[in-house]
Amino acid sequence: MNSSDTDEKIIEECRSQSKDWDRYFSILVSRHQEALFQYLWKKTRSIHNAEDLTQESFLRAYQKIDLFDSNYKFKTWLFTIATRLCLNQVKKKTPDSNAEDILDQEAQKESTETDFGLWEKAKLLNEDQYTVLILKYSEDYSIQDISKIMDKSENNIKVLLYRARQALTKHLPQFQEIKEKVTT
Amino acid sequence: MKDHPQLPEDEKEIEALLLKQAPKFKARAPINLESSILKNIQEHSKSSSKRKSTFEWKFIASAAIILLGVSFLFYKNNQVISQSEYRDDSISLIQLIQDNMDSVSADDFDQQKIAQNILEPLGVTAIFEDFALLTYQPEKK
Repeated sequence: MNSSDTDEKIIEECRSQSKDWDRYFSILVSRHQEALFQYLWKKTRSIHNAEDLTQESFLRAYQKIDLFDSNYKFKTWLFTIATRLCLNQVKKKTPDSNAEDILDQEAQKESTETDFGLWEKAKLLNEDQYTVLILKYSEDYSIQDISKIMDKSENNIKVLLYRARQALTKHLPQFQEIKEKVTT
Repeated sequence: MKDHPQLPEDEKEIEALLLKQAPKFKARAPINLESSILKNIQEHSKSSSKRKSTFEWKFIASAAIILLGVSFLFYKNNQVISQSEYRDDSISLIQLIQDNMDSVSADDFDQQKIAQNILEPLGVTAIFEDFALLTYQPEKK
């Protein structure tokens, strides 16, 4: 086995050999940690939460690897775990954690660029519409994969996408300048 | 996009904007993210194997203690039952014999005769292995 093998092949071979599993799993971590962190940051807008959720997602994937179906992509499965963890975290959110988020966002404002254009407006949509937009336009997932990740039907995802785009059209005039650059 | 080949113009513009702005829409990931993920997994792996072995030992020890306890209780219970049953049955039998002593002469006082002359007519069919009872010598009237 070498590091250029697909994720699914790595998992399959590791399962059959059950040797050096930790070492091979580290290849998967190395490949997907950045993408997963970015996705979780987009969802939570908190570096602290995104980091925790990234760690937790990989840990769950490691623990439940026997449940992974090789017919699917590992990355899609990993994002599914992360999406569910994220949802659980939102449900469990306490006043203390909200305060932590505010501090986190304050820290982030100082260290990174926070003008994300239309994505700032997208954050104001409901959670499902926003998640669909991230997965579709930022993570480049297909409708089929998004339906797996969000555990919703493909039609449901298409409706969410349509409504999200519709909701954003009212902000278009604000981005007239950028729009002109895009169309030319 | 392929999923919506014929989008209205304004939605196409939204798509184009989102796609264009997507690369900038990111945060700086912590430098040690990968190593902390791996460390977390390693720690979990170690603690879970430790927990597993501790759990196995605890399970074996608990099972052994429970088994011993149950065996002891079972033994004690049986002993109590057999002793009390024996005692109760013995007292009843003595009582029966005493009550019917008139029909039994001293010569007849053996196991077979007691069974034939006293117990069977009274419907007592229990068999007593321990014949300590039969050594009982009632006072001759």
